[in-house]
Amino acid sequence: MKIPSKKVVALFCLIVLVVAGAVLCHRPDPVEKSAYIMGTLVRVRAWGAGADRAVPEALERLSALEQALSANLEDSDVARVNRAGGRGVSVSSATGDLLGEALRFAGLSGGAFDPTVGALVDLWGIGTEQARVPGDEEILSALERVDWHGVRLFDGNEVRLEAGQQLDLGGIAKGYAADVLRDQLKREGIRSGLIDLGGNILVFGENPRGGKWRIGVQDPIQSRGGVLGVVELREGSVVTSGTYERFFERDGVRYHHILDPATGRPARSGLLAVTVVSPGSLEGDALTTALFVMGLDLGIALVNGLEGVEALFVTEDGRVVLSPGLEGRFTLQGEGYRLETR
Amino acid sequence: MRRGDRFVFLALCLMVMLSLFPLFFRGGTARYARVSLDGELVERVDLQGEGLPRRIEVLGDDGSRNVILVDRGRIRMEESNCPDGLCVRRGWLERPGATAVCLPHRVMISVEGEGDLDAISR
Repeated sequence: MKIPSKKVVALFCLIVLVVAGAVLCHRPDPVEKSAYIMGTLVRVRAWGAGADRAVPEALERLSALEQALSANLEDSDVARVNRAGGRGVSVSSATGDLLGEALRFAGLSGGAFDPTVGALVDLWGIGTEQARVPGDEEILSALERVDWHGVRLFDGNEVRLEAGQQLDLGGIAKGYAADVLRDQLKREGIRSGLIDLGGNILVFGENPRGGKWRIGVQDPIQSRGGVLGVVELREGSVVTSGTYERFFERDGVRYHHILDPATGRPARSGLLAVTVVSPGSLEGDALTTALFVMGLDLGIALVNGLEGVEALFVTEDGRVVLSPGLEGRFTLQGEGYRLETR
Repeated sequence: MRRGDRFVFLALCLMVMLSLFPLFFRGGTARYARVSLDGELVERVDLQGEGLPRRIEVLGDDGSRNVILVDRGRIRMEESNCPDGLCVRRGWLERPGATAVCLPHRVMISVEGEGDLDAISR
């Protein structure tokens, strides 16, 4: 047999190298599924062995959580508590946990986040076809039924409201659900994952695309329709709340869905949107609402006192204000904004 | 350089170029978009195909109606009889990974590809 020339050997080695390189650089395909749950579009993306099974299971878990937490479903824990008119009601441990956390953030934010805003939410109906501007008297009478101090939680699973109060955990249910899904996926051996609950983003594990996760933040001025900027993180949650999400307009005024428990009206704090970057999504969900209601000065003071929590505020006068920990991790892309750190 | 060397050199260049080829398509221009109703694919739309611009009508069982406008390299929700109209205000989608969702009707348009972002917080 003729011995192959050096050139042929070299060529062969080269081909092997290129093919090996292509195989090694190939990014593994994730398993991704979406569904409409909790009134929003949910996407779960997971990498790792067992993702085929774990992702559909995660979505089933989410439907089960919805059954417990939605104020709109007749048999949910929240609906039963709201109908009980001041009597004690036993609830699932998930509902108990969530309510406990809701009360903690109500206390932390001095009531800017309040899980008893149900009466106000119903009155305004923002995001439903019945949305309207209520009269002052109606708002005052609904406000009398809003006070988180009236909620009693016994042994973590018995809840009692004051007569007339209405729980609404819509402000944090999605964040809580995202955290539950992350824990479940991790237990199933999922290496890396991305959970998108209607724009609440939670990522864990290393980004299989390499480097940090890159999460865009929606530009709150709708007509631009683009991305305000990009947050980079290794792991954790990015949640944004803004006036653009759900609203209706009457006589040239925009009435958005973030209600101020002090005034009973959509919060007017000089902000267009707040983004919270935090280890868990529940705190992100509760804090975006709280910070939006509190406004820039009080809000940034609260954030700077919390370990591991960072925030980004977009003001009506076109400023994007970062808490110090976001400096260098946020890249502004939107036009017409000024970037500041406080 | 001998004839054989030149051949090897050219082959090498060719292979390096071929192996880099996929890189040029990362985050590139939009080629396909997916339109879905209640999570089910309605159509995979070629954004560089023939006969553009054109419209796609998506009708739901409950009388919901969305009209999607497809143009060269971009796509948008043009009309919707939903209460809030947020999907229409979203405007043109051009970049890979961009989405417009009509929540009341459960209609979604998404441009295929990953783009340079993993997700968008909104």
